[in-house]
Amino acid sequence: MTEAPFDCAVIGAGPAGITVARKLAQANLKVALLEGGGRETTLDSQALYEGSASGLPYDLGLSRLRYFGGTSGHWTGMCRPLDREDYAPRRDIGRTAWPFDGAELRPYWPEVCDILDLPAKPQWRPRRDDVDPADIKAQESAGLREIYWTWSPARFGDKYWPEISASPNISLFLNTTAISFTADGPNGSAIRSVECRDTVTGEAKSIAARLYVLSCGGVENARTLLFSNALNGTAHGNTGGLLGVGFMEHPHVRVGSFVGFKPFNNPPGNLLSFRYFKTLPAFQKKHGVLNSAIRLLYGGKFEREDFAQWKFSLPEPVTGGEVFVVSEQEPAPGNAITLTAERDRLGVPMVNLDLRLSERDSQTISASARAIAEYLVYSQSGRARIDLTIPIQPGEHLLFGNHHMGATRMGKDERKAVVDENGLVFGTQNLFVAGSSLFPTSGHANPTFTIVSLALRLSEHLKTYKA
Amino acid sequence: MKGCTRRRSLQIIVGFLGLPIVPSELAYSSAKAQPPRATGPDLVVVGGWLVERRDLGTGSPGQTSG
Repeated sequence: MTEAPFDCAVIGAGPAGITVARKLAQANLKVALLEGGGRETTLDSQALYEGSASGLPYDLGLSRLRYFGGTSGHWTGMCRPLDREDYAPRRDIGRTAWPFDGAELRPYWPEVCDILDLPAKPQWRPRRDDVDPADIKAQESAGLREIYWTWSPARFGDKYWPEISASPNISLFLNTTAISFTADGPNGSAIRSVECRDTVTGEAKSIAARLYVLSCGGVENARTLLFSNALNGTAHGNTGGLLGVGFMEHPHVRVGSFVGFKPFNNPPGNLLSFRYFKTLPAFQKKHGVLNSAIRLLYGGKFEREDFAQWKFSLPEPVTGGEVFVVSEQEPAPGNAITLTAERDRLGVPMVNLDLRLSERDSQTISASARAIAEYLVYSQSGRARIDLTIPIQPGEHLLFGNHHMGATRMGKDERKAVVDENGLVFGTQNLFVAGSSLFPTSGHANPTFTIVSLALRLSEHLKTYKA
Repeated sequence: MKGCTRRRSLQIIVGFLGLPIVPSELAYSSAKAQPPRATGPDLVVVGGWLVERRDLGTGSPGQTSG
């Protein structure tokens, strides 16, 4: 069955896809919104996300949700934009840059806040007047700066179902799994249709549009392009061999314990923001490490007798908790999504994720842990016990954020990226990508705020784009 | 112990992505912060803890205080 042509086929109804579909529909474009899952999750549909891991253990099936609203259906809602330095090149460590600087996305922040139900102007760091100058000096001496995350209650599936299901400009195709693309033109550069299968019945379906946006998650975006290339004998987005390569996560590492003499969890009077300390750019350069943020979390494992051997005057009762580092990860070439010989029940090759911590990743975690321990001494606001033996196996000490970044990276040069600065897949005229797979670098912040920022930017571009 | 139980119950507010959320106003006890010291600290590691040498009293690092 072939559906009538649309202005744009948006593939995937998570935060990125829903945002693009809404904005294009508001601009009076006719949109086909394809979602591989249904209105609710099912085990059968979720099973199509299963895959293998050849590096660190990683559960591809549980780390995302396959239904309308996508993974926003079970996220924690932690929001923060990337730091300015995350967009810049790091020539000292050979890290690539974004194709634009951090100012490019700032105009979209107010609308992102509206979409994510955040305050109109979230407070991303303390007001200068709220912090003791001596404490600021202690932070700077340790190479740190206090920052805030803020919390979003938005579940895209619940929030936007009424609007999308009622929109005269959006045709929603649930349980419609995109398999591959067909193409015409020189080197197959003009995408003609997206070939789909009904997730429940397996029935084939073809949907044609003028433009296509692949927004089905940081793993599936790469998987779909890899399989489509394999079927068609094309190399869309893969001239430089980087499709699926340079995958990044956010390691969350419990690096030790602390005893604290003041609150560290929330800014004063704001239970919906969370206090972290980030490493300063100068610190990162000095130590040759990546960006990171450290959280002091009261209430974790804590043993009073640990302090028996030293004379420090402890307040009573002693309060303390755990020290967590949330780290940027290097886009190492070995960290990659590849297709395997095994196929799912719709005939699509399953993926393997090879994800490891590089030496620089480990150094970043160690340096951040030492920095927060120094800050606690300098500020006389606590002490930390750091275990610098970084675990290499996920478990009690190492968790991942379930953030899938970098597998279809943006860039200006097709030899060093998969899509251009607007998200257009290199080698195509009308196929775009949205989502965290675009990130050339990951910073330490949870990605959703930036995912929605990029989706708004892409929507603006598509409103007037002509292939 | 009551406070500890309360903290654990608060950790029910655990999302899928990221870390447990514990409001500080509830999890943090009434201990007072000490004023910052004027001079730069002399740091040593004792039992994994990064401390100032003067935390240890007059003895060598690791010596039991008192």
